[in-house]
Amino acid sequence: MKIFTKKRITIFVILLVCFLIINSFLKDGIKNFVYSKSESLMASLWNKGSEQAFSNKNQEELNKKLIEENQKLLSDLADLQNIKEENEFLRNSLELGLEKDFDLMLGRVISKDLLSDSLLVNIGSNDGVKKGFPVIVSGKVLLGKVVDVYPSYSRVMLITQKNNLIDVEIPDSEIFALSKGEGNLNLTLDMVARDKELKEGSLVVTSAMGGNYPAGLLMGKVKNIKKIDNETYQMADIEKVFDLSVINNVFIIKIAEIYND
Amino acid sequence: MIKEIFKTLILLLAMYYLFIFEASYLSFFTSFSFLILFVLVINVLEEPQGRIGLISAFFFGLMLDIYSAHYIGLMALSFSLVSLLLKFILFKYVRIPSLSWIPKI
Repeated sequence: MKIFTKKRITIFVILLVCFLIINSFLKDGIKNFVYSKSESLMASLWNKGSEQAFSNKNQEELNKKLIEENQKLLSDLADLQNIKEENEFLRNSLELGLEKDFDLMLGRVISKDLLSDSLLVNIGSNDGVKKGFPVIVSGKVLLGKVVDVYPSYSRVMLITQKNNLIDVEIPDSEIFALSKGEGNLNLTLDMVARDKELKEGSLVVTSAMGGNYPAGLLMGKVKNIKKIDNETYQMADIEKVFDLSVINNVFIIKIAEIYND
Repeated sequence: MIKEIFKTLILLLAMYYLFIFEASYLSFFTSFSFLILFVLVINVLEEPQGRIGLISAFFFGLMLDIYSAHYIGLMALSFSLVSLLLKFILFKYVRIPSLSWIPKI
């Protein structure tokens, strides 16, 4: 018995050609159509999953609020550490600049990609979303950025997506480094100069150096510092501060310019 | 023939809802995909000339493509190819007589 028959090979080639045409002209439309048909079911399942995951952790609504509050306090702390180093005039002008540069759009999370760290959100190009827009949750906690935009939906790549590099800063030690996504919701800190002193628990925020994200968005806390003798740089893990089980809504930052998309 | 088409449609519908369940609800609890296991089991247990395994692999790949940032068709065709290769290997090189009691899918 032949497995690779002529008929099967012909069908395979025809499908290949069809998919090439679809990806060239109809990809966004098809994805948008399928998402719109399953949106309500997926959104309600996402909410139920979120509630269930939360109750499994023996936490109630109060804890949910506490986590959000904690995120906000951590981001305030990061801001305060920045403020220590800057004079009043520079701080004011930075804040004014940020206010002028972006405003926020609220989106609801529908699903998570099974293969990678990305989320589907229910606002798209019709609402003004563009590829490269940063995505945050309450408390100025960075979640990721928009990588795909469809008419009514967008796909958000999380900061933990494998090999996703972001320029970061540790404000209390004046360290500039890179955060590297490891996949499965894990994040590491890389390219930290050996002579710099990393401290466990230091806050990691985005740096304006990369040009992809506004400065000062909270990413997490430093943990498990690894200083290997023959390595030029030291490394550490970043304990992310967002918890997917409490995220139902996200904010997409409308920025004026995307430098490195 | 109609019965076979009907059975296939039921299977694809069930796979669609299972996929949606995995992508939204189950993603909070596990990153393991039960659907991929399901597709694998169908392909392993099915007779080499059967088509259900191939169709289910194609459909699962297509769903993964649509609900991810991939190009449409990338995983669909890859999974179909893997399904065919699996059947080829099982047919050519593997004999598991003890599995003969398992009913045909």
